[in-house]
Amino acid sequence: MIAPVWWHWIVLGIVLMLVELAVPAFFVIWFGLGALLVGLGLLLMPALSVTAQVVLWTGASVAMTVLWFRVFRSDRPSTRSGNSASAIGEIGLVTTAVAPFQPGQVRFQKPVLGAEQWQCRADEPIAAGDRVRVVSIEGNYVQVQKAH
Amino acid sequence: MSDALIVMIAVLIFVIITIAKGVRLVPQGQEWVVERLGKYHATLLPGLNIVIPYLDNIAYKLITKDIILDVQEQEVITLDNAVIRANAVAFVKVTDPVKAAYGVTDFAEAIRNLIMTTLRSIIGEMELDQALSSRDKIKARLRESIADEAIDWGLTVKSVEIQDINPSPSMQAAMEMQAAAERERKAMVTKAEGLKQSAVLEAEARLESAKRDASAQVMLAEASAESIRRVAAAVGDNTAPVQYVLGEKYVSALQDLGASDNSKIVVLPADLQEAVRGLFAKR
Repeated sequence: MIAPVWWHWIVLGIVLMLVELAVPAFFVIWFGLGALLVGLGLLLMPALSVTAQVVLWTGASVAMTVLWFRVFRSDRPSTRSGNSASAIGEIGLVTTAVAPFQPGQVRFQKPVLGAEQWQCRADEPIAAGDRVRVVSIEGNYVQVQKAH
Repeated sequence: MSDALIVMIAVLIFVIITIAKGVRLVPQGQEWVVERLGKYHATLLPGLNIVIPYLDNIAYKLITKDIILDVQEQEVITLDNAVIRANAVAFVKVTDPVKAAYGVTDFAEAIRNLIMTTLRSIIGEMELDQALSSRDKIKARLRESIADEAIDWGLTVKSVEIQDINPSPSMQAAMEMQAAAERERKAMVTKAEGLKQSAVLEAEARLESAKRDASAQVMLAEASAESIRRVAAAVGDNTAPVQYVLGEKYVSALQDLGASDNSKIVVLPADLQEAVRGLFAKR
């Protein structure tokens, strides 16, 4: 059993970070950074046992992964193009009055999902000429709400 | 190798696998349906997602870009029993991944079949000529008919385009013959029209010329009547100058007879005076 030297960890870390490029799974890189940390730690404290090194590697990697998801992760999508909800939130104008159990018509400024004019449904009575926001899309109907 | 190291290596492997299975990158244009212990749990949106590897399972990976569905060519019978071949292409978008995953076994196949059967029924209610010329109407009706089913499958039908509507080869030959016959009929009618018009014009021309001839004759007669009237007015009661003129003409006529090349038998009246007076037939 050969105890790894500090540069072993450094090389392993760099190799793992390069592997991330080949396998874009976004978890290998944390183990790579963890290995770099262990290498630096070993440089400062050469007396660490192999077990402690592995514990440190595991801990550092998990901690960085968790930290990333807690702190740095942004939930905002950069584009809605191609999403199933791409049309939700569009503002339109009611052309035929709509009420519960009485579908109406809504017109959008630019075509939404390939049509400017849509059949719409709503849970509240909305008069023609009011501005509405798309809440959800049910097949070829849109569910709308008054936009304020 | 100490026991602690072996345990730690096992823990390390467990952590690596857990994180590897738990961190999921969903590419833009896809949405993944996650089941927790066999039941629907969540839909993963594009980007970085975390699932719990031992409970959660990625059951469906749905493409949320517009899907192009090619509907194969099929034979359709029109209302007037003509066979035509029609195919279509549909643009469909998954707007509710959950319904698309659980509402139907294979939504693409379902929509494709639905379009085929609907197209058959729509064209089946039309006459051949109507079906060939009203694509937009077929398109609109197709979209309406599909929309209701598509709700349960979480799909939005953006558009259905009829690609080709072709009559079967025998039908096409018959239609071409019909078109040729129609053209021939038109040509013949045009020719006959021309002939008729020319005949009418000619008759009108004849009528016009006859009218002019008649009026010319009338004018001629009037002119000779006028000249006779004038001669009569000039003569009055005295016939001697007239007799003289007539006698002179008589003699010159006899002279002409004598000068002519044919038979020279000329009967001269004995009493020239009486002969000329006889012309007047005055008793």
